[in-house]
Amino acid sequence: MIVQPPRISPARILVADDDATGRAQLKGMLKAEGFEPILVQDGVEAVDMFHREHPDLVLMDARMPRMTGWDAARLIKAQAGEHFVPIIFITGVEDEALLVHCIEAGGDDFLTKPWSRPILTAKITALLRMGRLYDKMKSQRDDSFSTQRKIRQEVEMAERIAARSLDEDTINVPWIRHHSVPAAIFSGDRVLAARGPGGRLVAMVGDASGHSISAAHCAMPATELFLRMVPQGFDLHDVARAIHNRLKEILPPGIFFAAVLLSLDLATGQLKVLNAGMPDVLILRRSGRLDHVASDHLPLGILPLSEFEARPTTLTVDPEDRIYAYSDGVIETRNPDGGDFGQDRLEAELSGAEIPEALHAHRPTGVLERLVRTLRTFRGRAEPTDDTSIIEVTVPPRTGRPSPEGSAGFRISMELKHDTLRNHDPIPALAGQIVNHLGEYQHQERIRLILTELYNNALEHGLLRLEPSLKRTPEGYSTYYGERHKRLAALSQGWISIDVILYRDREAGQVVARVEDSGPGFDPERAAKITPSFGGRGIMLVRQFCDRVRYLGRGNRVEIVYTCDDG
Amino acid sequence: MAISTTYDEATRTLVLTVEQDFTFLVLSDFQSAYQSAPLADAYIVDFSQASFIDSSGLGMLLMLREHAGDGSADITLQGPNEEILRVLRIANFDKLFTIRP
Repeated sequence: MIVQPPRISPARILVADDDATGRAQLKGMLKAEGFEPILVQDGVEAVDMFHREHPDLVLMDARMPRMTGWDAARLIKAQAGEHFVPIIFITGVEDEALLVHCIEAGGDDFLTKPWSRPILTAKITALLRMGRLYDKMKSQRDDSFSTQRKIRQEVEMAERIAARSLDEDTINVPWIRHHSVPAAIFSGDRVLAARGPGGRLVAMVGDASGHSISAAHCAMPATELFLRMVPQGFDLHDVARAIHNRLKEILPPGIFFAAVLLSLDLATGQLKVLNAGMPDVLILRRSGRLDHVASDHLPLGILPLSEFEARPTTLTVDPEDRIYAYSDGVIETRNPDGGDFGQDRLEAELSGAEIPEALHAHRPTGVLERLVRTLRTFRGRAEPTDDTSIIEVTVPPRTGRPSPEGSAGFRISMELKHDTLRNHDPIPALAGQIVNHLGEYQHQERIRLILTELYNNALEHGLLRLEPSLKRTPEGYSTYYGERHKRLAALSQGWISIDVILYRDREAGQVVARVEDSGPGFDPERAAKITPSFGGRGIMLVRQFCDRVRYLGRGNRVEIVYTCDDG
Repeated sequence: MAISTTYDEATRTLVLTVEQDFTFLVLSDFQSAYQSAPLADAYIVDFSQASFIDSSGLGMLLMLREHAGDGSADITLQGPNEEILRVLRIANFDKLFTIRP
């Protein structure tokens, strides 16, 4: 292979001169020096040609008919924008007084006639070099701008993910509300809430020491642990201890995480509060009384592991009581005169609030909104000095001790469309996810088996319409799976939805799974009468493993309950 | 190949070793493994490297059983892990096969 040296194209130089002799001289000189001249005779042509040809440099006569060199230079510079195109004015000796004009018009250098070839060549070369340097710097600057922008975007994205305050899939109820104002992009405050199994709500408001990036860094592991542990059924002292231990491991001394953890049992109204270094948790009773739960723990991440002990305060709350937990940014909200909002004002604001008659499913009317408004008015034009967060939990009517299936556990839902079904079996990964959440690793293969059978039934019979009776002979068995392969590859409509809810309230985790397909369904009574030969064992296995198997709808929906006990 | 085979001339035993999950995904491998081997007096399906079986895999074992003369040749399911063993027992396969955990 022959490698050609890169060809450097000659610099293209626009020459604007109304004098034909001058043009010819410049043309000859430029060509001789290896440049590529483009010739025009006046300012109008110069602007026009510049626009069309994008030359690297302009040699401009100052005095020309139709449009002077100065005006043309102004237009060219305006057109070039950020791109640096050097302009050298060529003027007569008598124009020296007008040289200032040349510079003002955007000229970068000038030369008086008669010009000398070495000087003009030197000036052209120098300015071209400057132009290249300028372009290089500009592109580096643009790169650095775009890098900065990218970093900023990533930071904001990371922040949005990390600050994902209420786990919205789990908590989507009108009676938990929150408000946060970060002092910087990165906030050290965290407001989190998640449902634990057995009808328990767990919430946390945390405030990492300092603010901005270091604080957010500290808040991240706390967030992660909280969102992972609560749905798995750990209660607040476990979560607090885990956060403490993790922070102790990773944080340098002097950095800590103040936090309130709340755990509300929706069935009994039992409220546990662990206040580690945060302002008093306030409970606004329906009667208007305000109860306090003051901090009785050091912030997390301070004490040696052996000395940390989580001792939550337990009390009972009634429906329509409101629980407020907040960061000190609320009471330290500062007005432009430097005054703090203060605890008294906060309590007056809350207890002055009218409690709505009934809660029902409506949006609770605005105690929180009013507080937020008051805070904003108080702060006025002052910038927020600290991260400010508050959560309000309005205690809902008691649910009574829930049946495991009635209470919300951790939920995984997916709807698979034909194009996904064609080349993806979601079950192994789903089974992995389930046992991860439940911590029941020894049940992975059984859960995978159950879901595989349900999924294959939905796919093979519901969507692909394969005839189970084919499996009565060995030849039919092969035909069946050959057809499965063929029909699946050609599948162009239909869906399967899988909805799994996980509970972990007692000793054993429990899985409630529903698999539904868009197919016509079947009659399970009739199917049960078909004696299996080579096939038909799937649902039998499922029945053996599960506590309960139910067909719903037109037989296109099946629901199972599986308990992870050993047997 | 998901299934490897060895044939012992002396004992006329065909060993089919399952090297991954035993489901319909390995159906044609499994079938061609025993169909291409000489007819044996005894079969051993070695599950010691497998971790998963579902109903389609059970069906495949029944096909082997039919191929082997429906009970006239001895078929041993060898080395299944606890999970596979559980499935085999629930399906009453211990009545049709010799299971050697």
